[in-house]
Amino acid sequence: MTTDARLLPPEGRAPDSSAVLSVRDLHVSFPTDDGMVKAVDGVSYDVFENEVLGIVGESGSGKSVSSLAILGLLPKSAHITGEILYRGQDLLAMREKEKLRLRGSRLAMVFQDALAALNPVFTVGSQIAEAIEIHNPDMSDKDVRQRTIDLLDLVGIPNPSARVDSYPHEFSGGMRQRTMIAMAISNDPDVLIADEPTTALDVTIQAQVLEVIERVQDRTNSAIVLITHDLGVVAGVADRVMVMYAGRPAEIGTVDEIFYETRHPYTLGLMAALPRLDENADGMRLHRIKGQPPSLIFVPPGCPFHPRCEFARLPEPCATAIPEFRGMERPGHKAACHFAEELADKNPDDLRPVVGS
Amino acid sequence: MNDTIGITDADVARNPQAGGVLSRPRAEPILEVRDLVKHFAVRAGLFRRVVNQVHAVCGISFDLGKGETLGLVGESGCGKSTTGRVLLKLLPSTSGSVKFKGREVLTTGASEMRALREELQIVFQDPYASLNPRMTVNAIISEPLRVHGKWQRDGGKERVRELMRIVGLNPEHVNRYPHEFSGGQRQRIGIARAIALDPDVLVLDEPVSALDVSIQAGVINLLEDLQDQLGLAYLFIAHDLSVVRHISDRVAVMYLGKIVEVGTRDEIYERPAHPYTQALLSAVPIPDPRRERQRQRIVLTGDVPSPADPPTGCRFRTRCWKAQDICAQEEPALIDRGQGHPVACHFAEVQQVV
Repeated sequence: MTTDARLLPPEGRAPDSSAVLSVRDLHVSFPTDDGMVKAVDGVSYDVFENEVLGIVGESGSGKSVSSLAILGLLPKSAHITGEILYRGQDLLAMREKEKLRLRGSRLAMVFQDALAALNPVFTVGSQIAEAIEIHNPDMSDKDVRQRTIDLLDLVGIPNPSARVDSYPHEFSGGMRQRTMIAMAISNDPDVLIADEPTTALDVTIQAQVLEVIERVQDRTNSAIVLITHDLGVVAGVADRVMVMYAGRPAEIGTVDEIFYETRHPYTLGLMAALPRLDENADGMRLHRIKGQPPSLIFVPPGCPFHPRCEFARLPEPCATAIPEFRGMERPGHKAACHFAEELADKNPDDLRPVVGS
Repeated sequence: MNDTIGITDADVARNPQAGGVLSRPRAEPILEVRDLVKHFAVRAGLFRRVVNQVHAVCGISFDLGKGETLGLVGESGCGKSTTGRVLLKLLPSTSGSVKFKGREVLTTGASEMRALREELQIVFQDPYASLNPRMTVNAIISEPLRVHGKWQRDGGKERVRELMRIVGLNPEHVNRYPHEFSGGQRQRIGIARAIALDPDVLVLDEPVSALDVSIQAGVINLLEDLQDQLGLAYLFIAHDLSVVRHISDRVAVMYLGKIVEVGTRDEIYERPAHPYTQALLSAVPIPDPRRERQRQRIVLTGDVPSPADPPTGCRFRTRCWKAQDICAQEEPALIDRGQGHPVACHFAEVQQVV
């Protein structure tokens, strides 16, 4: 599962040839009347074949913007710097014509709101067929239709040869999301970016869709970037996890490192704030991360998390120096905290106040 | 095969002793809901004739005890929010009875209902839509006080400041507008408005679903504190089963307009006996990778059927792996079938899934 290459820390070395997608020092900002909004502020990561990288963060942490940047779907007003390397080619330096060739075939995306992403006046079959035809102009109509039906079957749409001629409104929410996945994998992409693919769905339907994503990966060996705010989904599906806060990476590591060897106070706080399905809460209160997520125009100086941090030492160094995103005991596990090592003996329950009864 | 078959939910509710039936709150019931039904008419054509009925809530019964939290869970479209609105008379009911401290709510006249509203309040899901953007926080929180003629008696502006302090807002922000607050703060404004009249029962309709995790925890803690201080009873409507486990004393699980299983928190989470409850619980991901790898997930096939045309017999049978012929013919009653709490399934069997 883990190769030696992915255990090395990404920065400071040449982009790994075995990585399908490498993001290096990505910055995205948007000019507004109030100033520059720094939506993504220095993000680097690698994704390898046949792995799921989960990106976790709250609203406004920059997790969606960073993935839209990969596909080149941001508005022209966005200022983007850094490197996004797909098998060594820099997507940001590429001409639009070349990007069109990659987008939808080698790099694909599943959006959160499937109803908004599907065109209501075309059948689902014709919308999937369009994605196939654009990248395979020589394919016969009959083959395209057969491929469309196979794809619908793969994602678990019942009776696909009849449903291929249905319109999006005739599908339920879960079926629409599966149609989106079918469209995204229609050309066997190397990288599949799924932006909150199950957020709008009920849990029983979410379980079905996550199963489809796993099945798809078994078949295509794609690298999957799964963006979500749900730590439970990440725990079940991801191989590695990146936690983002205020446009910056707070921590990255294998799923076990993130959950059991947490080295960033924000990650720890999120886990302590989460009610658990498998635990009774008798006498145990949830940890409340104090304050509000920062405005991305006026990000706090030093560590962006310091005003909300339980462990911050003020003013120095937390409010003055930006913590380096540095490696922990194990290669590949990194955290942006001045005192990451001191979290070694902390677990989420330490943050949960016990009610005196 | 089972002598309880043939007892319908309605029989059971009329005569609660019939099968030991309703899961009872520990404290005396403050709200008693019996056979509550809500159908919405589907109209079509030039004369808007009624062509069909959407069976949103189909004869549900439960008790809410003094100072207790009853979690009402289910997927979208199961009728949980409709239940909350019908029992506050925000929507007219089709039939059934809701008694608050022994007084019937559903048939009271408008002026009596106004008095009852002091005791029964609601917090809505979307803190962006439920606060009037053109009213200041002061106007929003004081509105119920003014409507009920308590503005002067309760201390006017000072009472509003006190309420803001209670819900953890800065009282100096009393003249600000909703858009100046974050989502979590707005939800606190909604809670302050709901508790302004010192109610006994609060219906919480997905109060934390729209909030980020770090903010959600603060609002949940606030709701727990308020319950301790003010002795409120909560009907906590939510789809997030982890939050419901954290906050509830008892839990009722709904599917397609019916309660399929009800019991104490431990009965529902540790000893679920209805296949739907089991599937629902097993589908929730746990933020613990080692446990996630070991878990067996029950993945249901298909989607929830349309409530305009619910299946005959047991409504869950179209997605149930245990379904037999009897499930299509006889509707299983919500009764204790030997699991210690009421379950509406012919083949109820405890299975641990969390």
